[in-house]
Amino acid sequence: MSLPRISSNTYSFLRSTRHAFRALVMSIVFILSMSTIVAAPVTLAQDLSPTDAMLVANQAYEAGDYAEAAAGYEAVIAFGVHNKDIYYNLGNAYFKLGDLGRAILNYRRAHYLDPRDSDVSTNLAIAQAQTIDQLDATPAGAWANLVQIAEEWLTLREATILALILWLIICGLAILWILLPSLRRWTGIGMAIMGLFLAIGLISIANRYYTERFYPPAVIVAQQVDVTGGPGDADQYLVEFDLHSGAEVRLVESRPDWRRIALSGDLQGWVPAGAIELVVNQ
Amino acid sequence: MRSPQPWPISSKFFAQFITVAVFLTFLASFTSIVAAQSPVTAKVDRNTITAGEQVTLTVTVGGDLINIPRPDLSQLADFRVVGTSTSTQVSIINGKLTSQGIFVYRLQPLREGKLTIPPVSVELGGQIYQTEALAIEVLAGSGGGVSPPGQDFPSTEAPGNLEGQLFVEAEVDNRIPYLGQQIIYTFRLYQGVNFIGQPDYQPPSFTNFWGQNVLAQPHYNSTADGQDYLVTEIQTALFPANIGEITIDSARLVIPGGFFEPDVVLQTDPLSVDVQPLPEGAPEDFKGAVGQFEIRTELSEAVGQVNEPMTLGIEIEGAGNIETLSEPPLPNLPNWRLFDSQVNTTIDPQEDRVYGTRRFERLVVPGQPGEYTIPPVEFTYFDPQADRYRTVSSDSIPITIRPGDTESPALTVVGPDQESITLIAGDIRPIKPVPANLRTAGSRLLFNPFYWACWLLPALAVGGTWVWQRQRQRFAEDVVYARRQTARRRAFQILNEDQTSGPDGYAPAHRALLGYLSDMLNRPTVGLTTGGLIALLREAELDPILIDRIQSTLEKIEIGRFAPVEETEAQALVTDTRQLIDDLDKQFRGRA
Repeated sequence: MSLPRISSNTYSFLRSTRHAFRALVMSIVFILSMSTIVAAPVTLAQDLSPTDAMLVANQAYEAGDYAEAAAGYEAVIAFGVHNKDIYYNLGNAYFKLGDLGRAILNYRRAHYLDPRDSDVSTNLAIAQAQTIDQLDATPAGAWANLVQIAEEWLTLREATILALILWLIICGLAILWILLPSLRRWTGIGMAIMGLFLAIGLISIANRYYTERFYPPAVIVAQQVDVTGGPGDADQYLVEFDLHSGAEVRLVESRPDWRRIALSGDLQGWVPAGAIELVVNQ
Repeated sequence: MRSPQPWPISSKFFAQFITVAVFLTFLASFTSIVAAQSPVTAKVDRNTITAGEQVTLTVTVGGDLINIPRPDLSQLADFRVVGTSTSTQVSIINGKLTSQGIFVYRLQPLREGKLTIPPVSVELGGQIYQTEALAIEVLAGSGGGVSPPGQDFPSTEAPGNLEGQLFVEAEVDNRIPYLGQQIIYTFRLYQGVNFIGQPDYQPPSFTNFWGQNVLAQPHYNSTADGQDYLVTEIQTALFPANIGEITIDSARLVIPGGFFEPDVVLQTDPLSVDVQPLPEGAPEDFKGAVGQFEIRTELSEAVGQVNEPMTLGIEIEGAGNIETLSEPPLPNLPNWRLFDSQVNTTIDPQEDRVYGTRRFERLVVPGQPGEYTIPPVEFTYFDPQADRYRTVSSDSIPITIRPGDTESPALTVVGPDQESITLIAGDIRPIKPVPANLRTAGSRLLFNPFYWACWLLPALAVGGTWVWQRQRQRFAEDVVYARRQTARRRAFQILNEDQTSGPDGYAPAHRALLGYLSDMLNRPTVGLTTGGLIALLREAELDPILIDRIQSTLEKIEIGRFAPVEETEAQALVTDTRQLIDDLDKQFRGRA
């Protein structure tokens, strides 16, 4: 008794079925491995690339597991990746967890890296609207507004590059002014305008750098903190006022375990070091 | 001057007086010797009681020991000891230590009739001292007699002349409380005499108890054993924190002494309570509250807006250990965000219990508009009076949430058939996908040397262009300058060109040298004699050595032009001429 011959059509069908089965098994293995990764993103994150770790954290976020997502994003940042999308997603995770302070902190970090991202600005505004301490952060004066507008649109890095570009244009116009006396009127006007922009830009850059260096922005991450008149707790110094999670302040001075902060309106005081976090690490 | 008056008393009377005084003094000394030889004394508060009443036996042991031994009451047969208290007073006067222990026993007679408290013996310094036996008559039936104040005995009596006039005692109102149930520790001072100074009350440490709220300090008069007392109480509310037998240490009252008298220290006996565990069957949401409580909830706004925070207040009021109450579990509130709570506690000690309010405030933020109802909040506690668990709940709270200002309906009417878009709810924008390039932000450019090089190079280009343009302009405008600037180059061109055209190098050397000098001196040199040229060079204050070299070179050229010479000599002349022009150029430019 001979075995029936397998026609070429039947063979191709069986081969395609085998491929489909293999693909199914591989899919199940992949799904199982991904579910394991979602369950423990922080431990596995060390073995994943930052891109994969962020993908896992995004999946945890979409599944509603915001704590795991936040841990995953923190792990990606611990890799040394400072990307505005990571900070934005981390801010979302903290917002969903009800941690307004860390939500605003990470939105601020994302905003620092990309001030023109409307998602970041929108979520930052929503989070700010829910803070208990509604601080007036709008600086007074035309110059302050100009600086704020520049900060709202350009990062410090972009501003420095733009300043260099302006300088190159001014130098090009200067060369034309030297070589082409007939165009000196127009090249002179161009140089004056560009020079004005460059001067404003340079002063703005210097101001931003000075502020970030000596009065860096920070966010209150403690739920509530007593702001005392000196570097000590309420037993040592008078409690001048209270701040709550999400309040945005400026760091004025650092001492062991204590930080001196400033708010708009000449309000200053001391808080425990763990109560605040800097937006831009020095 | 008046003379002194004689004594108005006769000598016989004086002798009788001295005799009586000596006798009395001897008698007193004898009595004190007897007393000194009996450091142990015993007395009862009364000798006649009725059945059911108790009698107080006070044994006082004096001596010079710090640790006073306890009296031996093993011979006591007709009475049962139902309570004891001890106090010890140690004082050092003029370097001499004296101590006194006061042991107070509350005795319950076991039968009626004429009973006897046998001698109480105490061993002091290896010697046994005994008191006299005391007779007690127990009458049948109730009534009669005076009960000692309080449930416990006076724990101590004041020494010396304050004996029986001052004593303290302590008691608790419940010796078998539940875990967390309030008990009242009462300290009483019985004061039969007045004393000067503010006494210092030193309460026990109250280890294994929560809270030490002093409820009241009433004063009242009482009579005990025919003695009137002013009684002062200090009531302290305690909440047992551990199960089992807990001992409350002695409380002390220190009455400051005078200039020559030591302080009087009164001390109560330690007490013990046997704390019972809470009954089985506690509800799941029970978190250890014991007492009687009510719960209320309130919302700060009746009408709210999306994303506008409101305050949800949860208030638990009642009697019990208010400060340790945990926040009750909150009901599920979908579309609402809840933030950590702030807790305020108000304690209002009342006559016999700790009463107060514990308020939990949470920030709640509605996420969507609509009509909502905050469900009742439940709170479970154990009621020791009813001996069962109770659950109380607050009222539900209706609340209307409107769309927030930032989420106000965005009206975008494009056409007559289109409807405006109404934003139902506002939420944060979603997360971002993984970017294609998860790059790390670069370092600050302000610290990058290449960045500042990019600033410097264009500036150098501008400067170079300016210099070049200025040079070019001067060439065009200043012929003399242009000739001087190009004199060396043109002289070398002549030397090179004519050298390649033929072997004769004298003519080009002559033209090159004279042309160079003409350019540099801005004077025509063609047609000048050698002497005229030399005079011109001296007028220009040229280095005499160079002038001599020029003169020598011109002479060689003259010779070479009109006499046959070797080709090598002609080449050497050209080389010398080139070197001479170089040296001249250095001098001219150095002078410029």
